[in-house]
Amino acid sequence: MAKHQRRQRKTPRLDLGKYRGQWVAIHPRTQAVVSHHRSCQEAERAAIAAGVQRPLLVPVPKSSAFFVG
Amino acid sequence: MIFPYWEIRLDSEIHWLPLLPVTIHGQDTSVDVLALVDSGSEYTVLGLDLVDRLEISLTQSKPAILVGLGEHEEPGEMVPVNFQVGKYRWTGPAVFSAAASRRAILGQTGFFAFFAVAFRYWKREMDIRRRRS
Repeated sequence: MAKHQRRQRKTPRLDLGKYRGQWVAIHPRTQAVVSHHRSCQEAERAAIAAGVQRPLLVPVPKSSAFFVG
Repeated sequence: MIFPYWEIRLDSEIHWLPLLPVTIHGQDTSVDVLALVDSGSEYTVLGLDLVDRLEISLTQSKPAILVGLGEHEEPGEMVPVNFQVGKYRWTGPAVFSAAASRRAILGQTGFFAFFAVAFRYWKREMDIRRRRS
């Protein structure tokens, strides 16, 4: 992941409105959504089954409200 | 290391967030999670989902109470956790809480204690460097 992180400068975009309250597994290079589930383990399992061995897991808040903290 | 902010769309709202892909190591396993770099959080906070996924034992954990805006208190359990970003690996305290079931937050004691972070919101990027001891 290290080389990829150093190279990556462009702002990645994710449209997560459909996945509120779930875990989304994305492809680490393309940021394409591969799978999603309420459980992070199930989201990861589905991504691996889809051929992405090391997905990046994204927890999606239930609310679209702005986070402060 | 320069990391971009992420543009997160949730319905009609657009959120520009300093999110960082971080590897969290557990008992003989690990997972990559996109976490919020949050200097306003005293602790690194993770959801209980990850306790199961990483087979982390909470038998030696220390109870912690979390509070945010609205002063609503939530219980959590603090344990040391191994993290990795790129080639850098460190062990820092993390609080696991049901309140963070859909959040992963890298806070002061578990993250900022180990890294110097410069946020450049206008460039939508952050510069993260390992703190020299």
